[in-house]
Amino acid sequence: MSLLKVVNLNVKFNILDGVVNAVNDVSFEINTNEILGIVGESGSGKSVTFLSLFGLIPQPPGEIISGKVIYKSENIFELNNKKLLKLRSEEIGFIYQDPLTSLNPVIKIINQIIESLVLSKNISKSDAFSEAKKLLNHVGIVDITNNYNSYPHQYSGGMRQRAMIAMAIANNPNILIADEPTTALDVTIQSQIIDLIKKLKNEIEMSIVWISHDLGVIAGIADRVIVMYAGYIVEEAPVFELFKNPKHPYTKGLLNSVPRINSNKVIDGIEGIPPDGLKKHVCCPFSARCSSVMDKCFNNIPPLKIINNDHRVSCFL
Amino acid sequence: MTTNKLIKIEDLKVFYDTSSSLFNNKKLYVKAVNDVSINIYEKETLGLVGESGCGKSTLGRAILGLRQLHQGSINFFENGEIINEKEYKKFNKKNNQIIFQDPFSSLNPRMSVGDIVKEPLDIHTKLKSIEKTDRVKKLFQMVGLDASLIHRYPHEFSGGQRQRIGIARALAVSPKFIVCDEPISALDVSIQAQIIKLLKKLQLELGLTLLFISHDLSVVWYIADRIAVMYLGKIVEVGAKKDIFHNPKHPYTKALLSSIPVPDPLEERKRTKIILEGDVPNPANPPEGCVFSTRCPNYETDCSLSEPMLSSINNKHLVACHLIE
Repeated sequence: MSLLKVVNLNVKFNILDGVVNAVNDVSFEINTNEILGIVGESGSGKSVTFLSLFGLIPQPPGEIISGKVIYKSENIFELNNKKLLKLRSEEIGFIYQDPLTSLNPVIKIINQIIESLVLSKNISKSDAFSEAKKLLNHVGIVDITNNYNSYPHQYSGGMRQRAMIAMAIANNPNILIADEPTTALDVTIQSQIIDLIKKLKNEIEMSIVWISHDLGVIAGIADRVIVMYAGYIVEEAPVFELFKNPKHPYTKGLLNSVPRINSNKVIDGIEGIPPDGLKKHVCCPFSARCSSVMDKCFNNIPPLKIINNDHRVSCFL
Repeated sequence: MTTNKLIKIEDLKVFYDTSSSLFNNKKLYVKAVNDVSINIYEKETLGLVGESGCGKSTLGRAILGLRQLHQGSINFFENGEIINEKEYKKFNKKNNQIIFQDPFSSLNPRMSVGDIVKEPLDIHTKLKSIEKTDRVKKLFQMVGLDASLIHRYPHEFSGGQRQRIGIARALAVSPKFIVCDEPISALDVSIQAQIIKLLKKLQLELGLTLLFISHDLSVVWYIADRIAVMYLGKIVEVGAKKDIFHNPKHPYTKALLSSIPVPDPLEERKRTKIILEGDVPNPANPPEGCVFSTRCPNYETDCSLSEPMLSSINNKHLVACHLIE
């Protein structure tokens, strides 16, 4: 069942050098209680898409040119500030890539959690304090070495990410946006955090959007995957279908770029470099790097076609 | 890969002094590399893996003479003989090079890329100007860049292209040994593959010896012949690639291998993962006895009593763990 629906979202940034078309004609749905994986390289528009949905990109320089975001039969873009704030604090949770820069360095972690609880739940400070302790416990931070009385720099990377998760789930959100939540962490800590989020998903009924560039992480956690390139959705499919039967040459290229342990297959990579964001696309954005490019790829942008069930791909092939 | 030693490292310790207080006389050291002994053989690629802060970069830089040694020795061999101290400086400069992680900060923005690649030739060779230009153009072709680009500046290139320039610079003096310090972790996945392929090709063509430092085990699987696993300043396991991946002995190696995500949903969901508790301890204050004892799933009280030594279990597979006979 669809929980949130995005229709024809276009976002651009007006910067000194020109216009960056960060998100181009993006339409998709988030279903209830699913994990939606978003894959793409840096600059593919994956983070901007989800930040812009909830009014989190600075305007200017950002500008939402067109699009609708339907959530609970309301268009989020038409909500007033107060309602938007309420929506963000009560129904959406965010986890960012770098917990050190997302936490305030001069406020104790527990006070940052209390602050958000007091604002969103309208409870007293002492209630919020015990609630915050419960939350930290829940995400695996126990008060041994005076952890509750610490500042962000006294936490390790993994613990900071746990604290961020505690804040994100404080109000039992309907949607949790996890923007590269494990990229800054070591692999053994990454496993811990993935395990924690999976555990929480079982307890709280929520949809998770997991943005990542790591195909391995996505393979392990997502139900459905969207592949983005140069601000376009190039392919969308259920996870098993996508890895078994990738259709878009970019998806295939990505899958062939990752070396696999215990496999002697030669990796290919993708020739060339990602496109310049300042250029406006009049043809398939991948045409310059595509190995099976045809004449018509240089004339039109291929539409996102449904090929079977939930599998959509934007390619003329 | 041959069996001739190129580098022999013995009991190496590299400590960083962190005692900053004016009135505190007690010395505080971060033990970045603590008692490491390892050989590097000619024409092999040794993969050095470990998490951030385990001392892998410090070890790489110590080998190049870029860090002061606290204790221990690093010896280079040429034709089976140890290079003596007098010749070492010259040998080190001509034969040992490094490729850095961040291609944005490791190239001088005010020099043209041709000059960047030419600089080692200016310093270490007596070639004529025209010969140098020829060599630079050749190097550009070797790393897959168009030789007509030599007059451009670093900001005109993408991350992957800059990394190629960094590789060309390292190759300029025809070195024998190159330390690749996380050369691909700043790049996008599709570009990473291009750079690993290039490094592997160059290694074979030029007969280079590489120390490939990385936290990404699947990349190391692709490029390395032998692998050393580091944890908190110590090498906990070292062996041929096959031994490490198919028959890991140290509990840390096992956990590390099990935590690499596999890009295949069926396989990834079938595997049971070993999830380690807690964080890596502070290297200024490592645990007593075995450094891994605080996170080890097989911990026994004896583990904190003494430090396990790297000992061989077969031929060239060494592991430092009390629980392995």
